[in-house]
Amino acid sequence: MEEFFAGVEKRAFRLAEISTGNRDDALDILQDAMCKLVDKYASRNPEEWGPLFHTILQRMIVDWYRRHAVRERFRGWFGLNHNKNETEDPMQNVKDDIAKTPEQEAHSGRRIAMLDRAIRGLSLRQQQAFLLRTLEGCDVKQTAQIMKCSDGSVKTHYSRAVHILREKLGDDW
Amino acid sequence: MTIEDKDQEFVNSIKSELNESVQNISARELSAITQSRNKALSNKTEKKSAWIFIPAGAIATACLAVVVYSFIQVVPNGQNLIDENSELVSVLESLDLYEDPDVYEDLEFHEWLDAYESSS
Repeated sequence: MEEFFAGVEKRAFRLAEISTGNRDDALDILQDAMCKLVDKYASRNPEEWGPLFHTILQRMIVDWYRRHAVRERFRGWFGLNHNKNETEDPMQNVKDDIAKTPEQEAHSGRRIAMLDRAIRGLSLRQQQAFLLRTLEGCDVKQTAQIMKCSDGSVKTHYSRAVHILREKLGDDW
Repeated sequence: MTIEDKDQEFVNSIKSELNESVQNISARELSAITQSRNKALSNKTEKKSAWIFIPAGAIATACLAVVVYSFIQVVPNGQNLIDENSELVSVLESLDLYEDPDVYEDLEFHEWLDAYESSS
């Protein structure tokens, strides 16, 4: 199990970090996902750990997204978010704790920061499909299994994600 | 170059950026990730040792079940107690009957009545 975690943990952390825009939340999600895999599925065949771990991780990211959306709604009710547009995608309202100053971005992390922000601007399902396919290297079937949807849905979400990212980042990326 | 080729090139470029970002995770974050992993794995060990306490809990539950069952079993015996009590009450009532002074006063009449009935 330790070997398995050592192999997947960095990419899983980046995936959670891109989705949440918050390092601490990403670490919490990663730890919870690891704990759950150990608690529930340690006795399973090691070949199953990968899909199981990513399914748990994605579910936790969705939970985080829901909790965040509820929190934002409460903030809206209590008048804490005066400038919020109700039709906006809640993910676009996530506080970007890893955003850097222009000077910092000009250094090594500039392109990555831009890319992270662009991916965070996608809908949650588009993010999942895109990150699972590009960052985790899952094929359509594996992605569909993790996202609990059809192959066709994965293809649609992925294709839309690529289209939106190209619009945001430009062809010369 | 077709649109699909352009898309693939674009995706490959993003993929390499993402892979690079994974390689460039800071030492502080790597340490936090390692701690998370260790915590998850130590939970497993703790969970194993927690199994030791399960028999104790099971025994306590079984004892409680026995006590509760024995209380439930008292109910039929209670029924018996009521029967015994009612028998006792009837005996006492009959004793009371003989302690009634009227009975003693009419005793001669009752003796005569018995004798008359037995003779006839």
